[in-house]
Amino acid sequence: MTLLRYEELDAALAEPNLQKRLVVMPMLDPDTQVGPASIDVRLGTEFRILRRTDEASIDPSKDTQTALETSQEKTTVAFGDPLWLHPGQFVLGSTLEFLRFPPHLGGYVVGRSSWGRIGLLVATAIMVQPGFSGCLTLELVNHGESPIALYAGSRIAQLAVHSLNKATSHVYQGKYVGPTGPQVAKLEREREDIDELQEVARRLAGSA
Amino acid sequence: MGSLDDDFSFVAASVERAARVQRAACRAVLSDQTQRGQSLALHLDLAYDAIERRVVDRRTVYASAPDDTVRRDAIVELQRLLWQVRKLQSNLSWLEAAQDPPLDLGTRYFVEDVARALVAKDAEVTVVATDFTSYATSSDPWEPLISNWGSGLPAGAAPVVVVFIPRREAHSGLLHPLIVHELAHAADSQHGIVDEVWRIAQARKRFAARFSKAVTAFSSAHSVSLQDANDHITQALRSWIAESFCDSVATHHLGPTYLYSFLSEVAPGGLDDPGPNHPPPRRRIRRMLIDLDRLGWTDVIRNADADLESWVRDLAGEAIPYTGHVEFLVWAIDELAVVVRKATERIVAGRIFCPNLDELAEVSELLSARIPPAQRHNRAPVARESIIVAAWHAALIAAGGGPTALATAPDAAELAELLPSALELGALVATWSNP
Repeated sequence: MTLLRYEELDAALAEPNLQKRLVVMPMLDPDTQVGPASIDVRLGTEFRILRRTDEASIDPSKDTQTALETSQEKTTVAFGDPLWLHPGQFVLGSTLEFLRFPPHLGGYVVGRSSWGRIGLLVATAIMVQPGFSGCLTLELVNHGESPIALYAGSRIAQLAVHSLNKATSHVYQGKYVGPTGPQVAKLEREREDIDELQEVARRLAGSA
Repeated sequence: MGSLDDDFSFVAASVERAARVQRAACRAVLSDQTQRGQSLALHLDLAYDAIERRVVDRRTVYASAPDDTVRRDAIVELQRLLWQVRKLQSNLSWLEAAQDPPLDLGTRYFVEDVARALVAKDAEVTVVATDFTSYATSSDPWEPLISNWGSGLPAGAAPVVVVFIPRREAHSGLLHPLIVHELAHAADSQHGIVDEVWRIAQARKRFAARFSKAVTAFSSAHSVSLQDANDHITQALRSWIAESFCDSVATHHLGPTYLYSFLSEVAPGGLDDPGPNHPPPRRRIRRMLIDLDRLGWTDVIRNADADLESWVRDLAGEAIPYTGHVEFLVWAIDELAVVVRKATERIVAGRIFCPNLDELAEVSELLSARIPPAQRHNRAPVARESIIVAAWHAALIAAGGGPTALATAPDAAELAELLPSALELGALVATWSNP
């Protein structure tokens, strides 16, 4: 597995065959966005903001997807308008760019240091699987002590792209296929796992 | 005497209160320049100014009234004004729509861009989701009120356009091309297109002779005066000219997309009924096909869905006879088609949309791969008109093709997110590339 350098990123983006191409749609300013070993990605216009609900907590073993959906309000911010992120506040955003990774490439998305230095955490689930297609959901948290204005279109994160030794035939077909904005957690699908774990726990306790 | 004074004072105060209460929403928008709908709020605020001036004016009239009859008339007028003011309350939802638009961001950018191109560079368009059965528009809606009773719109005031879309279609991106037809009505108001076409028509001897004959026939058939017949036919023809112009603008601006949207929204309701304000849909479809053929779209439409193309041409070609003044109106619209087209070409100018086959092929490939097609592989921006055409074609294919697909294509699930996203990114790419 090799981290792609500038020339290789350029070639992956320019690949004539769409199936093999690393798609970054749109690439507004390649001269500044494509770096020595990464591609800067921008903040999208759509956000999911947590709203105060009467739910006491989030429990993947019990909560329905609807409960999760209703706990977050969808907001669209036009280019040029700010979204204020207050200290301690958490919102879901996404990359402006729609990405598509071919089967022989994977990647990581990490925040850009300029934002990190003012306390902004950009992403926690940073792995991008081969075959992923869509806008990457960003988990934005203000860990600083002052409100931060977020502007759609800002270069907020960077994408490191790795080549695999060989293209995988088992490309990403997970829970988040083709999103064009931030996706609410699909914890409901974790329930089978949790149910199984609880069953194992009962057996371990000798109660089954 | 004393009782009339109280009545007058009571009604006048009620009018002023209604205006004051409703005006508060305008003032809230105007006090924060970052809020959308500034021009809309300004125009509405001026309308309330005009109403207050009218009340002051009526007070003067009342104070100098020579007798109780005039005083009673003044009270009745104010009572009517009160209902007018209260009706203006519905406009508050327009201000709310400016703050919280019903359309996705991509479609909003597209609509605003088209409004700037067709109407005026500083035109402000507000789209309102309503209970109306179909799409409609209103340009500078309070201008008569402001001019008649107020100080008039300030010189250089930005034109205000309010477009109404049926609430049910707020998320039907493939039908939103119909909004371009509505914006063309605003372009007509701004540039006086119908007046211009009407003047040209009246100067033509053949037109004048047939118009006169139609008026005479209408007068005797409906037992109305020649003047009333003249007014009736003039009004109908001016409305039909406006519709023809707006269809032509939308077709020149959007290519076959407008035809598809029109067929989907309007055609199922009947093809041959002439409306008081609209030519029969079949005639309008025929004219759209003529324009599309002239613009080079024939093969693109056929290659996208041959069954649909054949069906549309068959229905457009069917000759339906009309009698009386409708026969004249139908003839007149055909007679004036070239005049309307030339006006269209002037208004749409550099944005006349002809097929770019390479771009359409690339956009279609991206859509098939479920990638929002905002930028070409060479990083050039994709024309948003191409995005919508390709999206319509993808939706028709997904819906099985043929006429029935027209009804269901706007619901294509795979395009529900892709089309708004492509339009939003397309707007950004186009603006970024062309500062």
